[in-house]
This record gives sequence, C-alpha cells and structure tokens, in this order.
Amino acid sequence: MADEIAIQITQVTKFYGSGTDSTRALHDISVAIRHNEFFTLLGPSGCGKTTLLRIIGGFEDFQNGEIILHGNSIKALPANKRPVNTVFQHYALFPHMSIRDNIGFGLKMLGKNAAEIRERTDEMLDLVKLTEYGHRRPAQLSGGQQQRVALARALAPAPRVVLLDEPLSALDLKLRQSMRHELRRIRESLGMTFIFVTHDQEEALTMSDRIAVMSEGELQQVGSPEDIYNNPANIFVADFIGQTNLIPGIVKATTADAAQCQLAGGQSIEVPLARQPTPNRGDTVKLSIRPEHMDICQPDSDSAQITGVLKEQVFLGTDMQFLIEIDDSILLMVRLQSTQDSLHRWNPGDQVGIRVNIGFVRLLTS
Amino acid sequence: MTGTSTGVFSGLRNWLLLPSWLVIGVLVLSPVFIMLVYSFLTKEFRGGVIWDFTLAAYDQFFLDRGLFGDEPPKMEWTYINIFWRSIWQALLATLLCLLIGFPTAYFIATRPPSARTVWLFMVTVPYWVNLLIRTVSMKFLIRDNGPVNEWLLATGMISEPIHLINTPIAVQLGLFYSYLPFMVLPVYAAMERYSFSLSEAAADLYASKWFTLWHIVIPSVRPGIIAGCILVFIPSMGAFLAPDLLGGARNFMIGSLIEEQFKGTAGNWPFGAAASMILLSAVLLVLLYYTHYQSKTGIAKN
Repeated sequence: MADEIAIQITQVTKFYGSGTDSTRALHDISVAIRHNEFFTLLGPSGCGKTTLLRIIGGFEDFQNGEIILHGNSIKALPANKRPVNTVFQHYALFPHMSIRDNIGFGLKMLGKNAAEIRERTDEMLDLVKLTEYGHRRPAQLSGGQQQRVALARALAPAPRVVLLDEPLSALDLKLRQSMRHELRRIRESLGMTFIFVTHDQEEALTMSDRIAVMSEGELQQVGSPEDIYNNPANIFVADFIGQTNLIPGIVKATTADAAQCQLAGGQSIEVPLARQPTPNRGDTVKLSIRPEHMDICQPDSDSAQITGVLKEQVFLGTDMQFLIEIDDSILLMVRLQSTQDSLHRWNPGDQVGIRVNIGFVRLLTS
Repeated sequence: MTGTSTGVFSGLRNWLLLPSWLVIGVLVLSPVFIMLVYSFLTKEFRGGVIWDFTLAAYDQFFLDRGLFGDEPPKMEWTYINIFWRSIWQALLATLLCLLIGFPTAYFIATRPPSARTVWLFMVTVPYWVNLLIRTVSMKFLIRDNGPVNEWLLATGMISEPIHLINTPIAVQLGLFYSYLPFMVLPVYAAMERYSFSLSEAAADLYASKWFTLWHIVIPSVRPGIIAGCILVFIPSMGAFLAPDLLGGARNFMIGSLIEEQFKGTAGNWPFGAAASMILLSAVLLVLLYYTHYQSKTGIAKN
C-alpha cells in the first residue's frame, strides 16, 4: 500500500493564449505522486508550479496529457466533482459565514446530514486548535488562525489529496516555522496525500517526503530533500537549492571512479564519480561545491587541494563565511561553524589552502 | 467629531466644508422647504400661490368631495392609483434592470482588466445623448410601423404589428432603458472587489455553479445590488419623460402628475407640491429602511 500511486501525471503540457502569442506554461510534465506522501512543487515564481497545482484542482484546463487519481482519469471532471481539496494562498474563506460554516461547507455540499457535519466540524476545530472560535467570522481571526481554518476546511471532507498553494507565504517568520510542524503533524495523523506548492526552499526541505524542482514550466528533478540537496541533477537545481559555488572547469582525464578536472585559473582537482554519471574527457563542466563542504588549512599542507587568497570573512552567527579568491574572477565561498578554534587564525590577504570534501562535489554539464 | 484630524488642517476643516454645506443648503434643502411650504398654501388660478394656510392640496390627493366640494368625503382613488402605478412600474423596472444588469456586471468583471474599461465605456455610451432624445428614439423604435415591428413582420414571426405605444409595457421599456447603467455600475464596482478565488473555493468544496452564485457571490456583492436598486427605483418613481412620451394619458405616473401641475397656467402649484412631498416621503421611507438594514448587517459582520 505504501507505494500506491495517488496521482499519476503524464506528459501534461499547457499553453496560455493561442497561435504565435501563446506562452508555454507547462512542458511535458510527468510525475507520480505516492499515496500518503508529502510532495512539494518547488521553484521560483513563474516556473509553473501553481499552474500544475491548479490543473490538478480543476481550475485550469490543459492541452495535452493525462491525470489519473487513484486509477481514474480526472481530466474531464470539473473542480466541484474532484475528490481533491485546496488550501488557497490567501485562504479564500467565505467572509459572510462563521468559521464552523466555512469548515462544514464541503460536507454540506456532499449532502452529509447535520449531525455528521457537526461532529466532523468539531473534530476539525480540535485538530487545528480553534475549538473556541467556531462562531466567529473569518475577519475576526488573525492571519495564522485563518490559515488553520482554511486547512480545516480543506481537510473536513476527507479528500484523497489535499492541494496547498503557498499556504504559509502570508504569515510572519515565527508563525511560518510553527505552522510547518503543525502541517506535518496533521498530515501524519490523518494519512492523506499532500501536494504543497512553495518557492521557499527551506520550507520544502524541512517538510517534504519528496520534492519536485521546477523551472520555466519543466520538471528539473524529483527526489527526497537529501537527494535534491546532495545530488542536484543540473546547474539550476544546484544553484536554486541552498548555496553553492559553481566553478567552471574542464574534464582532463577520467578513470573508472574519478575524474581529473582543471579549474578555471589552472588548479586541478580529482572528483570521485561514485554518485554521479561519468563525464567525457574534454567536457566543460561546472563544479558544484557547497560552502559547508570545504575547510580552510595552511596553503602548503598536504590536505590543501586548492589554494587562494582570503578576501573577506563575515560573521553569520552560527557560521563564519569566508570568501577566497582562487583566480582573478573566481571567488569561493566557504562556511565554517563559529565554534571552531581555527576561525581567527586567518586574516584577509593571507594565502590559504582549501580542503574539499570531494565526495560531495558534483560535475554538472547543464 | 472624528478626533483624528489634527495639525494644520484642523482649523481649516469647517471652512473647507463650507462649499458643500452651501450647495446642500441652497440647492437641496431650500427647494424642498419651499415645496413643503407651498404644499400648505392656496392655489392661484393662473399658476402660483396665495399665502393662505390650507390642507386643501393633501385633501384633494386623498379625498373626493364631489365636483363642488360640498359632498361628504369619499376616498379619491385617481391619484392613489397613479401613485400605485408609479410604485409597481418602478419596482418592475428595478427588477428588470437587476436581471439584465447583474449578468452584465458579472460579465464585465470577469474580463481581463484592459477589456473591462472598453466594456464599461460601451455601457455609458448611450448616456451621452439626452434622456429626452433617447426616450423619443425608443418611441420611434417600437411604434406600430417602427423598425422593431417591421423586422418582426418581415421575418414572419408576427402577422400584425405588436401595439406597444401608450401601453404600460412601453413605459416599462423606457424606464428600464433609461436607468440600466445605474444598476450595472454599482454592481460592477462591488463585483470588481469580489475575490473570485471564493468562487474557486466553493467549487473546490463541491458546490454547483448556481449554489455558488446564490450563496457566495450574491451575498458578497449585496451592497452593490442594493445601491443599484435604489439608484434605479428612486428616479423611476419620479420619472415623467417615459410615461409622458411612451405611455400616454392612461399610463400617468406621479412624475407626470407633478410636472403637469407646474406647467403653463393650467396647473395647481400647491397640489403639485403636495404630490412631491408624498413622493419624497415614500422615497425617504425606502432609504431609511435601507440604512437601517445596512447598519444591521454591518453590525453582524463585525
């Protein structure tokens, strides 16, 4: 059961407009979302993630492709016939109805009897911790409370899939962080499939079982948060998720398990290929090295793989960030924990060595 | 009064309000006051008034004392019937304007923003022409050998012209056409503020389109609908061009009655003033009910 597919999206393509004026919103999207999964669509604004969510919800049509929900095509179903509920970005609570009536709306439309609606509404109010607020109007609640009502309203009819369209984006930072835990807790207690749209990578990394990274209407990579972070499939994903150094280089030689790369500026580094495809000799690549996968050492020590000149150090609280110039135009960002003793051993202008945790270096060609 | 205006403008406030007070006082309140006074005066036969206090005008409106005024008073139905006809014609015009105006406003509000301006512009275009000319045009359109009947005859849908001129239907057409934008514009203004994601949320929660319309859209734009109804109902009540030009003598409305009393030398100024006061009272009652209703729903909302 665990691997049952909740939603199978096959080759979905969407254009806005027609003829030569048309713009491509989604291109050939295929992805399978598992039952009971917290699945996140992540990408910058305009990447098509919200469009894809709205297509699943039935609010947008599309030109090609198919969407199967638990074995049945929902392509032809209008929004009000799909067993899918949405938490809207600005909540879209009905302003002239009480909180209870908002939460019970879907059940009422499904023709449930009054006793059942009352019971389920109580249950939902409990779940989102708003038991005392049932008789208020949405305008009388804070943003965070309204957000929870929107969630309760979408969960009340017990849909098979819940769609969440940037539900946390209107909340302040503290509230957003506590709502992340809240969302996870609620999903785990109910066992529903959540499809979550966000442009906030931290949100995506902390909440999701799997993430689909999107850009310009295309899927870039689908995988677990660790997978996406540690094994980005391309330059876009490496750059979009977390911080990384992208250093231009050329593959000089390859063996079965490592590639010899020459960085711009002339220095060379050997990158293991255990967790990535083997590049061709002569390929121009970008080496993606995350700031936390490097350490600073004496320039003449054996462990120094690259050398450079320390340009700047910035105290970030838990971390200290160093900018090291390894070539006229290339600055490497290195991040060390502030607790390390070595922090104050270096001064701007010093020649330093960089030790790279080369198991995490990725060679990216596109 | 508000306690919020401080600083340099606080002293100027009353002076800045002066033009508004002058306009309201001189152009609104004093004519009404003059009417009120005139309605209690005695008529002068060549038009005008004699400064003798009397209730004769109101008496004439409601009671019939015979040709020479010496019979025991009976209910006078002539004017009450005219008044009644005005009310139902105005109500019907309001209803028609709502039935046509609401979908129009909904249509415009759901167009892309650039197209909305064009549609709104088109709604207002007929109003660049004087009301009198528009009403006369309507008369030409619907007369027995006018284009509407000609077309219907030519297509074989009817075998004889439909007689519309001098019927209540013609008056209704005139009223409806005169005041339609007064419904479209406030409803559109409310609809433009309506967040259509509410309709999406309703559809998402399994509501049908009609249920969404009745229980989500209409409650949200209700203030615009009420404003539109008032803006159509009130001028329709007092209209005189449409009933005069399209309705003829049998479809007199209160506006025509009042107009007649002040026209030429045959009129009766106190009687016209009294009829105006009665009309004004009826309109005020409607407005009072509306504000009462508004404040009640306002409290419920907050």
